[in-house]
Amino acid sequence: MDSVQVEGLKKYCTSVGLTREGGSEYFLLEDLRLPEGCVPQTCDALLRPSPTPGDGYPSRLYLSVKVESPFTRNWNCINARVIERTWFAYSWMVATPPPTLVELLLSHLAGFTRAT
Amino acid sequence: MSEFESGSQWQPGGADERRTFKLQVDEQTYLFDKRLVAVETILEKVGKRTCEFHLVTEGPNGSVLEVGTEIDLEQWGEKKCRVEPRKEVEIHIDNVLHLVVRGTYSAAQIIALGGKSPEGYDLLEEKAGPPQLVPTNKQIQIRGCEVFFTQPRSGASS
Repeated sequence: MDSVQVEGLKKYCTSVGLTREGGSEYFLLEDLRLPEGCVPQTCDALLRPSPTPGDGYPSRLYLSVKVESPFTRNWNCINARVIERTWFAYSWMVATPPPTLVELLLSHLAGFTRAT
Repeated sequence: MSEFESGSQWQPGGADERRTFKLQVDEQTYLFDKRLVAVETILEKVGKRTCEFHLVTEGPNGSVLEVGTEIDLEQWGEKKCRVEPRKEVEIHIDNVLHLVVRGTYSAAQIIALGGKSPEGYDLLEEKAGPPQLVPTNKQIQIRGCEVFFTQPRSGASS
């Protein structure tokens, strides 16, 4: 785990953990701060930076709650079970992976700040 | 035991001969321990930032005292200054300084000011923490000193 990249993620949440499940790596972000306009303003999140078989997404951001935001999203992942917790994710494709984990996280959070 | 007996030395004109200089800014008097004081030092003492405010000589046609210049407070005498909000304030976009008129801007306008295409970039603002995404529908109040970054858009609804 690149410590510089993890330090970058830590600025957006209270703690960062790394876990593996089903062959995929997940960063657990506790109390992730969400963009302005989101309800709630923070929640736990799982950032999966690489693809997982059958999922169709190069990366994914799972959230511990279905977040309300000014921009309507298609929550097509409901009650996913990872690390014995339930997660939600909306339909959002980050086709070209950004160079850093922080940029990847922000690319996913951008789903709460614009329409498309 | 006095400070002289302890071994310290008093020298005429040296650091121990303290002089203070006064400057009145907006009806309040401030003390400085140096004769030559930079404009930005005065603004800092008054609690104002150079990116938002000017220091101006008194009078209806007061002139702006430029940041980077020094005032000789001994020669300044009893003249007064005032602090005025700048019409054009300083902001940073991707670590580049820009002068913009105070006012309300959209995220797209800020991105364009930074020389990027609003369709191709997201806007982030750094204030009291790491840079955070700015919603595209937000009207941003620019008062000066704001710090923005852009990030290429690589996510989309699928």
